[in-house]
Amino acid sequence: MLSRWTQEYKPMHDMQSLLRRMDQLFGDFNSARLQWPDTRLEGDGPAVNVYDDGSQFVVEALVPGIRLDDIELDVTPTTLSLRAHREPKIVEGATVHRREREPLQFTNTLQLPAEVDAERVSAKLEHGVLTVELAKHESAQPRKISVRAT
Amino acid sequence: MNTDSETSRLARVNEGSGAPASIPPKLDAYESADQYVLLVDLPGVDPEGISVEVERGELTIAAQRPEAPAELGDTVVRGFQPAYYRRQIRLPTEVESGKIQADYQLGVLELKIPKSDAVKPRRIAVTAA
Repeated sequence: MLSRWTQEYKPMHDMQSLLRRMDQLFGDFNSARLQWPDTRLEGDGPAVNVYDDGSQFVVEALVPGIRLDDIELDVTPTTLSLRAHREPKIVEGATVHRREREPLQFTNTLQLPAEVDAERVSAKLEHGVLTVELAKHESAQPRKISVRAT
Repeated sequence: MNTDSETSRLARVNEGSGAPASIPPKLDAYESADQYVLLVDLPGVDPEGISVEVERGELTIAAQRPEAPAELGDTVVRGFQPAYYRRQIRLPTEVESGKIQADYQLGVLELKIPKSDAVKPRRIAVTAA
């Protein structure tokens, strides 16, 4: 959104600093992702949070109105794919006054910053939030290095 | 690029009132012969804390999605924030506000708002002489 604006806009000299400040503002939004350049989210899916507690990743996705049956999860050592569709609720014989809740049909692939063990993945769905826990592969777990003083 | 709908819909802040920034939840609204049905997306909110109030023809829906527990770990990707959802809708005056049914399933609040008898389409029997 911002990059489109700066391409079409021909800023005057004293607008440069304003634009730079706005870049910084929007940059902060994505700073979490910039700290983890190996984590990429592709697709037009739901809002997703990813946490790392050292031994596992936890992925949360907002998927209101979606049933467990409507979700497909695929895990590889470095990716998590989330595929889901939401059946639109049909209210029989009713006039539609507003339709803001878009039909949900998406495939979303998350590139993880470290390897996970595809055998140790669990998922739960509660109140429209999907939570997926992915245990990191042995080799990706932080290892305590003991330092001996000589 | 992931453009999530949550964070790109800018939070509105009530200047100076000290009220928390709130985001309006998405909703679908239907009208049938005898009721209105509203479907409101409120993922991850505390069900006990969902408030549905009607006052002078204004329906207000409010709910809160709390911060994730710290045990989950460091944030790697932040696609959505804890949220304070709030939305006000003007109802046509002819509803039975005391008989609204509210049901929260799969993160969606469904409201069934019966119309007053006075405005339900009524079949008038016509007798022909």
